[in-house]
This record gives sequence, structure tokens and C-alpha cells, in this order.
Amino acid sequence: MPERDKKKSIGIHELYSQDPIAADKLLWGRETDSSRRGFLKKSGLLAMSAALGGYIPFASKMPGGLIPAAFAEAPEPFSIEGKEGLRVLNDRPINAETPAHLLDDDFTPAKYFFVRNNGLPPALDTIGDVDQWELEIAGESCLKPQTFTLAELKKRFKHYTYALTLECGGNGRSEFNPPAKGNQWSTGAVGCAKWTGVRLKDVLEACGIKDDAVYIGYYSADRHLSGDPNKDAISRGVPMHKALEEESLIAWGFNGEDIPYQNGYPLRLITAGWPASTCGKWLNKIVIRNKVHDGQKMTGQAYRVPCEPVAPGTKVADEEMCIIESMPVKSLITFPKSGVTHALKETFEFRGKAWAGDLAVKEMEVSIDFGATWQRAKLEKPVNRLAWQKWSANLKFPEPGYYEVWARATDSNGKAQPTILPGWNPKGYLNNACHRIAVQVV
Amino acid sequence: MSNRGSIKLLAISASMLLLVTANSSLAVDQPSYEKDKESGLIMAPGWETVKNNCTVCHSAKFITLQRGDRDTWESMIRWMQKTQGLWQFPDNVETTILDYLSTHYPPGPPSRRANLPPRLMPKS
Repeated sequence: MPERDKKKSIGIHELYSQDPIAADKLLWGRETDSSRRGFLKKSGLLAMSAALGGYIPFASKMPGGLIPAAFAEAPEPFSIEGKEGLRVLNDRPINAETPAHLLDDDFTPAKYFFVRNNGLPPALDTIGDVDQWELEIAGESCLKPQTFTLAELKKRFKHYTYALTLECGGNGRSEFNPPAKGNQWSTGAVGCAKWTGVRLKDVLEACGIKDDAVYIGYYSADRHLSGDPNKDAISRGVPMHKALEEESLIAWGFNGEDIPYQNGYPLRLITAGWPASTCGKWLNKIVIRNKVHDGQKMTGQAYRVPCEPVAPGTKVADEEMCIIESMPVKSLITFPKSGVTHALKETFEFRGKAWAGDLAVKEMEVSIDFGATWQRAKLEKPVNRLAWQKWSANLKFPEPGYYEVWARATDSNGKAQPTILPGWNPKGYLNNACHRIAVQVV
Repeated sequence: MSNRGSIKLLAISASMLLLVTANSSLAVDQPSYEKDKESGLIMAPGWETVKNNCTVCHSAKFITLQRGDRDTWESMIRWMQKTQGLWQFPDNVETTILDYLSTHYPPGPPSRRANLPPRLMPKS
């Protein structure tokens, strides 16, 4: 955790330790019901702990299970430590997306990197000295199970840095109809940062991979929302061929700094190009499996789509749902912001990012007439495999009025983004419909 | 077209007309409810029951940003009961919750692409 973040959250804890009730009101705008003050304190602190990741004395003593209702409503205003300008979709657990115009940097800064949590992040005081953070490699298809401290990982294996795009499988869910349950992401559950770590392949090979290995699975230090210590919040994985790719990392670095707390500090698995849920945060164990990993959110309907396309609203049995692998081709217009006013006589200069899961983007096109005609944009090569690609274009509008600027990427296999929604699926994954911004020309 | 057929058609159009009327009066009624400052929930009948039962474990945003018909909302409750430690509701409580959610947070009109939301539109 960068020093500045530590300072800030300690400030808040000091505020709390002096007068939790006053702090609750100040920070969360919430009045206390004096008859149930004890509960309020605890739930307020739990919410604080979840939101800020600060260490909170009460958090470890919180009973598993539930807190009385009246005190657990969403507090406003809400902010996430270390993040700025994100659109909060849920505050318990914390989920927040990045507006498209804040993804204009070549590499997404920590403050703009989206947050997708399935559970409650580990409290900072339980993370402790990061050099001593432990990663266990085990599983039935591991020949020599071992545990490494982070310091040992750094010392023993070669370091690599790659720019890698992470996108949530449910990015774009909010557009599906009938609506799919889950966080209602619009376009902002994506980011590309320079991740530094050791290759997953090097570590797995040092521990010995049996011939029957087919999959890896991760376990993490985050906690299940219900508070039940016997349940994992999430434990997913990828097949061996993806795990053994050069860009699959066990990472501690993010744009040259520590990984942001909400994004998995101090250690995270990175298997870019696949749903970011395969990239375990607060990573503390990897298992080499002789079957498809069956951890939390690997089975049932989670992160799966119908094996065969279905009509909107169809109920699909679990056994007819298939695990999502590579994410589809997609792009964003990151400049200017949707809703701008533009002068007719001026050239309209705009730009964005494009990515294509395991593949590269080979072509980028833009339209100002609702897809009737398209013109080619300038597309740059990725800085490395699985990094997003920059694109830019400019044009003049023919007359004043309301325009939508659409952007469409095509991947190296010739698949392009659809201009309407792609196939409906029960959980609302993989919406890669082309991005649009509104422009008023005057 | 036979007589019986046209009578049937008439009956269907009449019932559709009724439906449309019912929907539009609902649409007129809804904005008159204020939103709870704390949770953002629409303060229509049943909202306190929803607030008390649903915001214990998760944010009210889970409701206010979500849309669903009765079946969808019910399936979410069943999922939470099965996997997330949600308790069983007495029948009347469950009815209140499902009535409220399916009435005030229903699916939007079917569309393969809606207009851009107001937050992304030019200010006029």
C-alpha cells in the first residue's frame, strides 16, 4: 500500500476511535438509534472496513452471519479509498466502474482501475508484512507442493512486466433485456495496467506439473459476504494451456507501484484476456488440478454462457452452460466524453482503446450515421500481447444536430463488434456491442 | 374471417387497451413517490419491508440498479436463501417484497439497443 493511502485510512480510524457515533454521522451521514447503539457501531465499522480496507479492531470480532437490518442500509455519500471518479454500482461488496473518458491514459492509473469484488477484502492488518505474505502451490497434480513467501518468489524467479488488459466477464450487463441479475455494469469494468511479477509457468514448473494436470485454481484471502469462514468468496481458474502462457503472471506490481488494495494487494494472479474473475486477488494458494477446477463460481451458472445460443429469457439448465474462456473483441471511445458540444467548422478529433481477449485487434472503424457508413481509424499495435491498443480518428460533421459517434473493432480472426446487443444469455455476460458517444454539433 | 374470429380479436384488442391504460396510469402514479434519502428506494407501499429485509447483507443499490419481473426477483431471493444465508420469509412478507420489486423495478421495454442514458447525453 502506498504510504499516502495508509495515512489517510489511519486518519479515519482515529476519527472512529475517538467517537464512532460522530464519525459515523460525519462520514456516512447516518444518525444513531441509541437503543441499538452497539449494533450500529459494529455495522458502521464493518461497512467502513469493507469500504476502506482499514484495520478495525471490531472487524475480527464480528459474528458470522447477519447484522440487524435498520443499520445496514447503503450509506451516502460513499467513496472508495484510493479511487477517484468511479461510478459505484454496489457498496457491499464494493463494485465500481470507470466512466469511458477516464480510461484515456495509455495505462490505467490505480485511481481509475475498476473494482469488482465478490467478497470482503482482507483487512489491512491481516495482510501485515508483505515480504512474508505466503503463496502455497499444491493440488493433486502438483509433484512437489511448496509454500513461498513473496520475498522468496521475488528472489527465486525472473521478473517480467507486461501491459495487460483486465475486463470483468459481466461488463456491459446493464443493457441486456430481460435483465440479468448481478452488478449492472455499463462499459467501465475494464482497464489496462503494467503488471510486474513472475511467470505462473516458472513457479508451477518449479513445483512439478503431473502429466494428468488439466486446470489450475486459485484461493484468496477475501472473505465470503455471509461472514462464513468456511465459504470462499470466489475460487476460479484456467486450463493449463492458459496458465502456461508467457503473459500469465503472479504479480505484485502495478504501473511500478504496489497493486492497489481493492485490486488485490499484495499479490494477484493475472491471466489477461479471460474474464478478470480468473485473476485471483489477495492470492494465497494455487492448486494444480487433474480435472476442471470446481471452486466457488466455477460451477453452476457463474461465469458461464449457454453452450448453444438461446432466445432472450430462456431458462438454461446448469449442464447446458459452458465456462467463458477468451473475452470477445471490444473497444471504447475514451476522448471526448459523451455529451460534448462541438463546433461545426472544427475537425472532430477523437480516440480510444481496443482489445480482443486472447487475440489482437486488426482493424478499427468509426461511424457518425448510426452505422450506415464506416471509416477506418488509425490503429496502433499493442505494446505486448494482451495489452489494449490505442486508436484515433478525426472527421468533420456535415451539418449541425445530434450525432452519435460509434466505434467498432475487428479481431485478428475477422470477428467484429456488433452494433446491437450480442446474444442474450441468462447471466448477462460478454456484451461487446460497439461503444457510442453523443455529440451535439452547433 | 369468421364472426367468431373477429369477436375474439375484438376481445383481445379490448384487453390490450385495458392493459395499456393500466400501464400508463401506473407510469403516471410512480413519479409521485419520493425516494428514501438513505437507501434510494422508491417509497411506495412495501418499501420499508424491503429495506429491512434486503439491505441487511447488501447495498440497496443492488435493488435500485437492478430490474426484473416477479420470477427474476424471486429467483434472486431463492439464490440468496440457498447460498448467502438469507432467512425464509413468512408468505405475506415475501408477497409484499415481490409485489414491490416487480412493480417498481420492472424490466424496461424490450430493445436490442436503448437510447444513451441521460448522464451521457448533451445538456440541452
